[in-house]
Amino acid sequence: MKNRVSRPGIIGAGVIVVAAVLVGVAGYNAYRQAFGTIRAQHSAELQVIGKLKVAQIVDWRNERLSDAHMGAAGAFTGAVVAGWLADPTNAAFRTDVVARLDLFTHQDPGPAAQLSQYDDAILAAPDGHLLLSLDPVATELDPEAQSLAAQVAASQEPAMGDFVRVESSGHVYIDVAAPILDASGRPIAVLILRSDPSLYLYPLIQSWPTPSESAETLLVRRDGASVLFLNVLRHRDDPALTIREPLSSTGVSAVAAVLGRVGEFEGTDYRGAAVLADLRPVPDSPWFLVSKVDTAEILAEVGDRGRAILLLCLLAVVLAGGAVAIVLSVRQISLQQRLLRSERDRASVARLHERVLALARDIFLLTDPSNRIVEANAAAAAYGYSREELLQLNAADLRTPETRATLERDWQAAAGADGVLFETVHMRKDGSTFPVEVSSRVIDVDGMQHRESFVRDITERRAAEAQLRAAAEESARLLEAEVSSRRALLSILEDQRATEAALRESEERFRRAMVDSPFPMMLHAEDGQVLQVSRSWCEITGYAPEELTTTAAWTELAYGERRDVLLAEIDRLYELGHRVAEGDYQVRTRSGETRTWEFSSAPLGRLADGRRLVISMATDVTEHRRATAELRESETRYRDLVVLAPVAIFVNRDDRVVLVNDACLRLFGAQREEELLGKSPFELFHPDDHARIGERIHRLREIGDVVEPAEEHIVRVDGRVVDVEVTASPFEDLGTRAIHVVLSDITERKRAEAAVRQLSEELEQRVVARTAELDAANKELESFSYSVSHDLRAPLRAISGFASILARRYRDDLDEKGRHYVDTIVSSSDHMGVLIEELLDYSRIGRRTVRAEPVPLGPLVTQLRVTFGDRIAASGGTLEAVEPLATPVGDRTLIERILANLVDNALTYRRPDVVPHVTLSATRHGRTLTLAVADNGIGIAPEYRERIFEVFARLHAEEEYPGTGIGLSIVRKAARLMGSNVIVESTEGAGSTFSLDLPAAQKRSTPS
Amino acid sequence: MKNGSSLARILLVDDNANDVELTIDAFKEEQLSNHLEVARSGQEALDRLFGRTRQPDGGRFPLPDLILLDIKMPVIDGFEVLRQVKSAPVLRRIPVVILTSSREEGDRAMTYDTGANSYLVKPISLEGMLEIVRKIKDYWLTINVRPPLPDDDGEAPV
Repeated sequence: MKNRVSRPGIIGAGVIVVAAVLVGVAGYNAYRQAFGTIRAQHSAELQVIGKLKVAQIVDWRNERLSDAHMGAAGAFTGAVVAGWLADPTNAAFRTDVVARLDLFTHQDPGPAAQLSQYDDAILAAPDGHLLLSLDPVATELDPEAQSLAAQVAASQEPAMGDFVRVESSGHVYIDVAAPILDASGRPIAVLILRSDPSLYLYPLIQSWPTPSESAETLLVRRDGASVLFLNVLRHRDDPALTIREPLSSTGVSAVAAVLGRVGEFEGTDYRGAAVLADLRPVPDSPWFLVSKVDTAEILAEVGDRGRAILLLCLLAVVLAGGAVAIVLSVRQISLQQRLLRSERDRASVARLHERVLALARDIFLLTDPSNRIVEANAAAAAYGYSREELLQLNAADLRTPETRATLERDWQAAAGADGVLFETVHMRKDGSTFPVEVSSRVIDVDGMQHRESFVRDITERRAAEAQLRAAAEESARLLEAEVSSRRALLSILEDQRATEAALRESEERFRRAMVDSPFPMMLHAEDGQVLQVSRSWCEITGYAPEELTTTAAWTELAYGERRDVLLAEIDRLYELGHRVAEGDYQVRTRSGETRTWEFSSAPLGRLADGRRLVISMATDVTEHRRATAELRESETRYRDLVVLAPVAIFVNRDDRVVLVNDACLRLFGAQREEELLGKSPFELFHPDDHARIGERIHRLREIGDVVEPAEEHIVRVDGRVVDVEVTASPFEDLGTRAIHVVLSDITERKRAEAAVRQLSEELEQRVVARTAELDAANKELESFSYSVSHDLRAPLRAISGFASILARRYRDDLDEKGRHYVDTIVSSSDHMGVLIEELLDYSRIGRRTVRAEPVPLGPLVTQLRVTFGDRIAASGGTLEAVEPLATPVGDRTLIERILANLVDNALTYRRPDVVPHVTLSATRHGRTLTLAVADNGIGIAPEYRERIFEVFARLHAEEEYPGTGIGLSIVRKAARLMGSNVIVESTEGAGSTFSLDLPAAQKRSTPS
Repeated sequence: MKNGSSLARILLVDDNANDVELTIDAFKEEQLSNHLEVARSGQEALDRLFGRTRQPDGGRFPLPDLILLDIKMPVIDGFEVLRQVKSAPVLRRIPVVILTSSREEGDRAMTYDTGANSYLVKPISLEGMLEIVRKIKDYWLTINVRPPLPDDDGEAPV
């Protein structure tokens, strides 16, 4: 156990390693990220500060320039200076100028304080010479100041100089200058304002807004082949404008700035330390601003973070390790527990094992690697040795000398496999041997290969096996003998069978022939036994073969009471020596039907027992006989038909009359057949018809065509000519085409026809006359109504007209009553006029002939809309036509009239508070349609529904609703003229629907 | 060319005294009475138109610019007048407006066939008559451009 490397341990270690790696990688990433973030922060900070400072510097510069400009540009200043220059000795002027200059350096607070941050205010000549300075010591300007003055004077623009260091004093200043112009704009002097950068500029540059150990800004400019640091540096004590860096050191941030690099820069600074910088030029100046911070500072910051991360990682790894340790120890504990349990189990199993062994009947031996017996059970006493003796022995000792040699070999097999089973012979102590079966297995006992063997005495088994073998041999021998004798028997039987089979086959064939025969056949013996009956016998009669086992049975079923007779006849058959045809017999079938069978029989030898056989065959001739009988019957019938037919019939064969019936004789006035038989048909007919008859005969006989009936004339034997109708048809008779001719006397018919013709002529004449009368009457009526209307109207016009004149012209001469009377006269005349019109209308309706044709309703509706358009619009109502409008068949004028009157009424008899809606519809049902006009007006009470159609009938006074009472009577009359009738459905107070049915126009393929 | 109602002449042909009176009254109300001349029978109308009757001074009656013609007149009825007028040269140019109480289809057919220019039905009421006169004035005398006819002094065609 100690050699084994614990697998859980490896896994645990592996887990820790992996965890450590992961944590390390995560930690490293976190660190890197922290670094990046902090660096970026710093970079941003630098940039912000850099921009800010640059801006401030620019502002400062601009302020200075502005100061100078203002100081110099004032007109007054110019005048004063000019004055002084003109007269330099003038003390007063000088004092003035000095006072002016003094303003710039004055320390007093107050409004001038802004101006007074300059160290010195100097007046210089345009060429640079010093003219006046507040500094009493100064005698001449520095070269830089001189050149600045000259430049300013030349350009006439204010300008700023650069930082200047005075070697002697170490003092640094910076000048700003502006030209002073005279009245004509010529520069006469230059105002120079000198300031000390350390007052404002240097502090500005050198300050750093955030706490930082290494950060700084510095101002540099290019100076020849090197970079000049313009301010005091943080990390060096050298004064300003003393430190230089050659331009070749491009890694230095200041150099990079001067060389044009702008923005973030990683490099070194003047002291060689690694820095992160922001580089920025100061606009409109030769300066560059560098804002930088040491990378070490960044790292230090990061370092803190990094340490924290590292701590975290270590903690994580430690935790992981701890977790693994816990897991492992837990496993260990459980393992130990399991071990303990298995030990206990093993102990109990071992005890069981021992007990089993002790009680086993089989001998149990345990041998050690040297085959020495180390353990044996009680059964081992079978060997005759005592237990102690046994434990001294070797396994080989138990074997017989002969079998000893094979011991190792036998046991070899046990080594690899799951054990081995073999038989061998063992020897007892007393030398007696017994056969055994050994089951042996190698087992590991305390690390050594022992062998455990179960030994079983198989003496008895062997004996039993021997017995069994002997018995088997004996029975095998007996079986042998039996088989051979049986084979001999079988062959005999087979021969027999073959012959039998052959016999049966032929029998079978015969039987089948009989059974399947299409004819009923019966094979019967003289004792009455039916040996065979064919299937068709049974099928036709319906009796089953089982019912027909004897001739007696058959005759009973088929012949009933006549059985005995038939049996006797059958008996006679057996005497026959030859075939005989027996004739027809009536056989009764199971269903009660009687069928006619024609029998014939023949002898068929004898059976083995001597009985004579007869085979009887029948043909079912029922249908045949029936057909023949029917034919005969119909022949007779036909003959009688022909002979007794009421119409004359004769048959023409080969242009000879070969058959005539009684009616024919009568028709021709003959007494006997012979008077007509043998004659040619032409002799029978009038010569006028011969040509046509000949043609018809030809068609009938040669072509076999059927000819239509024709009217001919026959000639009787007494010479009289009679009108006949001839119908002829060809038929086959004795091999030739004969003609069957039917004649009917049409004398009466012709007479009737003539009468009818005459009658109809008369009728026509009468109709014509009648129509003429009607027309005349109509015309009379028309002219009557015409004159009536005309002549009635004229006086009416006079009444109305003059009364109107009265009403208009003589109105004032009348009193109120008089006016009322006159108005009444006028309105009554108008009313009468309308009445006359409508009466005329009424009478006019129907004077014209009523036409019947399809009347499409679309155009009528359109016309209605025109006619009643104004009234509809005025009432705000609607006239609606329900689509589709079917087309009626009728008189167009009448339909127009009906619709117009109905719509008029619908619009007139409206409810005053309800907008009138009139609906026109023509709905088709099959062959008729219903034309309807519906309204939502006042409606009609049920008791008046018929009265309204009367002429002049009204339900309302003229003041309520205007009208004459004729409209609906016209509608009814018009409907009646078209064979229809108008009906009304109405609800009082809700509305009415007037409708009439007319035939519907059928769709035709061609327009009518 | 003559136009404008101030110069128009209308010949009314009607035998019914009442009708004539009413018509004259209506024209009077519409200030057209000065233009109206009346023939009381078909014969009288034809005589005037064909110049068989003359004015007191011997001159021909001037031809009217419009004839209002009744149909129902004794002896020579409106149809005859219409037929003769519409067959005569120059006279046939004169627009003839039938003014009758008949609405019969036959009358309408015949008059239009014979060449009537218009067909009016005499209304019962005076109102109606006034309306008709107004319409005649508006259409036949104002809008309608009259046919060219010979002057008063001209000779009438035979």
